[in-house]
Amino acid sequence: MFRSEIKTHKDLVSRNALAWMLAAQSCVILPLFFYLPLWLPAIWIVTTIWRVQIFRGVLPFPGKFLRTALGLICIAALLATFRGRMGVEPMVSFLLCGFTLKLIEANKPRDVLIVLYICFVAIAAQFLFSQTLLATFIGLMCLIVVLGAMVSLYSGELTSVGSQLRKSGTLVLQSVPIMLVLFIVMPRLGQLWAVPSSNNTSTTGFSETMSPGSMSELIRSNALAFRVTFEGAEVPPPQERYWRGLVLEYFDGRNWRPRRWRSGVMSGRVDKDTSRPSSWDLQINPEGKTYEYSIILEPHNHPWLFTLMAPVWLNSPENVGAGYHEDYLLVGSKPVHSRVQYQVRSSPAYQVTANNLASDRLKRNLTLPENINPRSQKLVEDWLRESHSPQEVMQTALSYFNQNLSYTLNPPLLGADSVDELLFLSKRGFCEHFASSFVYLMRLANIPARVVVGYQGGELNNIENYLMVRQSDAHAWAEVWLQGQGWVRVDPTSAVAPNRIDRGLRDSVTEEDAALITGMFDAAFIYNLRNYWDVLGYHWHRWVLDYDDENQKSLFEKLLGGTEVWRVALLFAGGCGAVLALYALMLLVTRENAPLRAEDKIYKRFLVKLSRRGIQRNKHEAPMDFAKRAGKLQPELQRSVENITRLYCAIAYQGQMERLASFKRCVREF
Amino acid sequence: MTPMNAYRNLSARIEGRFFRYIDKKHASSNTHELKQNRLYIFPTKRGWVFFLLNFTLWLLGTNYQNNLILGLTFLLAGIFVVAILHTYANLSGLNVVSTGCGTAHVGASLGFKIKLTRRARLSENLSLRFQHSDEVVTNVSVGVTESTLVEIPVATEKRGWMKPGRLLLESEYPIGLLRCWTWLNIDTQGLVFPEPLAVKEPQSIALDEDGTDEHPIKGGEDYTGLNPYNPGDAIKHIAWKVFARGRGLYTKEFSQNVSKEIWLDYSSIDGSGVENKLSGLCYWALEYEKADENYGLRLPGISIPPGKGDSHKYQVLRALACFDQK
Repeated sequence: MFRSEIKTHKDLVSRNALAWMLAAQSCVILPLFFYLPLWLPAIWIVTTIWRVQIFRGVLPFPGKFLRTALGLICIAALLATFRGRMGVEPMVSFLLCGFTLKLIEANKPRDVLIVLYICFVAIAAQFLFSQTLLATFIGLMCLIVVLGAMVSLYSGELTSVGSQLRKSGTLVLQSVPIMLVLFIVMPRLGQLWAVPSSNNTSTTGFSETMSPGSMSELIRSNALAFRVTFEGAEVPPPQERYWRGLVLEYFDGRNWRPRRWRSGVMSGRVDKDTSRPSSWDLQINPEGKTYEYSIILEPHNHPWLFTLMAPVWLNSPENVGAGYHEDYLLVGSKPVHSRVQYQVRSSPAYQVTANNLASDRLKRNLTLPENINPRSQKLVEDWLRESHSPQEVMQTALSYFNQNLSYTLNPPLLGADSVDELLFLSKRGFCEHFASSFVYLMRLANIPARVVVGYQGGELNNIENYLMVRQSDAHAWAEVWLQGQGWVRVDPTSAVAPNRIDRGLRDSVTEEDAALITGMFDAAFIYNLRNYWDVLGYHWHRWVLDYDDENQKSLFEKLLGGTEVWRVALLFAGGCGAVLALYALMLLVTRENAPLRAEDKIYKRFLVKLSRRGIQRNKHEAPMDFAKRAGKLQPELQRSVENITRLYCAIAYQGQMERLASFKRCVREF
Repeated sequence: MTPMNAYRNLSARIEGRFFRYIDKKHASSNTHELKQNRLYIFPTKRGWVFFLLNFTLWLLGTNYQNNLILGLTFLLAGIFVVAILHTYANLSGLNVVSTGCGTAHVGASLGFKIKLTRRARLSENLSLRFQHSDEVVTNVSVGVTESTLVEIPVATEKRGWMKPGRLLLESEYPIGLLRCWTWLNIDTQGLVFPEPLAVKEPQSIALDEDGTDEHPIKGGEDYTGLNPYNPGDAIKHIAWKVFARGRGLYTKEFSQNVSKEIWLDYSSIDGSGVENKLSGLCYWALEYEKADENYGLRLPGISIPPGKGDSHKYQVLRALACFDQK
């Protein structure tokens, strides 16, 4: 085989390199488009087509003027889209602009390499937006393609695309153990300087205000809101799973909204012993049941956190910065933009000790817009005439709900007198209608009341024993201030549809409504599959995404018996060293014995069979000579031995590969 | 001395010391097996940029406390480390054999032939060049249990025996982040003939004794028959018509083919200076060879009797190449 100079044109981008570059870029860029403005894919498509046309000689490379103009257009578009806002999206969009524009000026191999290097950054950007298992898998595949492009640049043009991809896959796979060692060992320094965070608003979750219809939109989403792992085996029964998120006190006749956010956080004095707000006035029964649980909250872009009543102890990482709110709530120090985890202990055995509501709060929880819902006003007046205590009014209202209203996922739209319309006209509603009307009626009866929104219920994952709370569990209920009892939870929905609370949404809707929430009524095996998938995601979050300083320390303690530097260094050196030594063996030792060709392997088997019959081949003997000698030694074998040897020679020395099968058969039958 | 100069000076001295060291350590030879004691490996500029990029990604991951980005940077670091092994293994165990070289005239390039053999794995995308040469042979691959012949051109500047210098064999396979290379002292030399230079035909043509200026080709009428072609027969004498009929290659034989003797004489050739004269002689030697004439060479102290054919030509050209050279 004679190969003289095969010179590559060193300063041109070959067809091969161009194809790889475009492939690698599309791989890393496509997943990013889900999070970024829609004009970016358009730019990408235009530049890609342009670059291909340049390669085909149809279009020239753009001149300096055109390039500057394109850059300016992109910057203008960025400014128009993000209005000067800083954050992850503008940052990544800017990166992608440069990334796509680079295509049309990539005319040297060096430029191709720059594009490939930016591909690595783009993969990292993917992880800024999504850190699920699926995103990790996509990122890994992208990495293999980008690396394959690099391999194609440096492995010569004679190898096939498949072998280049295989090579890059090998490199990535072999690097995984080293990555694991580094992942475990490398110190986590924590944030070095403040960085703009993601302003992603595409996640679901309820908003700050509640209006008729807002909940029923939400419950159609099957997305996960949070997961709860309980310390110990005991999980509260479904009717106790009220995850409080937000207290709404202001009503304008249609919308409910909370007080301004910050005003409620840790307002007033803090109780020294419990570090809870002293305005809570809670008495915890020390004998009573407590639940300690940790919540992994999906990003919902609001600061509020979810707890069971009443949270008495709290542990949250710095990036959550959870604090107590005066309405027995927990609030983070900033909106939750990425998945967070916090631990809470709740004690259902609490007792509010305050006898009177502060005057401003009393006023807040009695205020109603005037001159609407005349029929409701008349109804409450009737009730008040017959009842003697707030409790009685409450019971009357609940039984009225029970007798007159029905539960539906598809409630009719309500007008200005929303309460009247629900109670007397449509008579069908969803949790937010019931909660809203109930609180309205209570306030009419001069009973302080407010709306609480959050989640109710949650589905127990039977595989790992944790609770999955979905957006479809979103719920609204009421809290009523009763003299001597403090705030008491009243769920008017349970009066209308008791099943909703006991058994969840699945069992409380009619068949026609079920169509609205399809996907929740899957076959059992899909249901199980989903649970398994969720378990995977749960562990992924717990062990990978959440691995930090503290986890590292406890892992070192467990693994190495201490956190001293020398122990860690030993793990690092030992781990990496062992892996690399193994690879070195694999790569370098095999060279001593070339891989046997198929016919050689079969011939070897034949020699073994012959030696069992007492005929050994000498090292210097050519196959034909040996066959003749063997024939003389055992004449009865002469024909078959010579036949097999002739076949072997034909295959090995004359390349008659088509006879391999018959050769194989002869040796097998020998 | 400016710092730049000082730096250059220093690096030149280090380089000189390095080459003296490898010359002493590995004797000049025609076969080399590449083992760890003569393979060097270091990141390329691209490799350092990759390193910087990875560091930037690490900062990003740390600042966003994003374990996946950190994982990516660790994976890239791992790839870098694993690539060291792959780059090294690409050259390790390679057998380099020098299989001689051709000849060339000054100004053309001289090809040194190198045979590369590999026992087990593939060697991909090697590039080879000699130390003081700009001509690089790239994208050479050596298959499993195959050998690859490579001809590495070296530009020639002066006539005589030429040693190519150290052979640089390098590869950045698989991802260009690292470069593995070796310097091999190849024990071979090639002969460089003088550059042919058209000058006036030398006058010292010794005519035949009878004085007639007979030319063998001109006496085509005395064609006597066909002989089977032997390599070395003049192309002009091949019976092309016969060949065109598909009967094979034959040479026409002429009865009157009387050879005449031509002497190329150093003292009578045109040209100023030794090199020009030698170039002139070279040109005419090639011309006569083309014309299938017998020619001899007279240099001071050397005399080659008239003759023709490849080996005669080589003898003449070698004498011209080596004239007055130590």
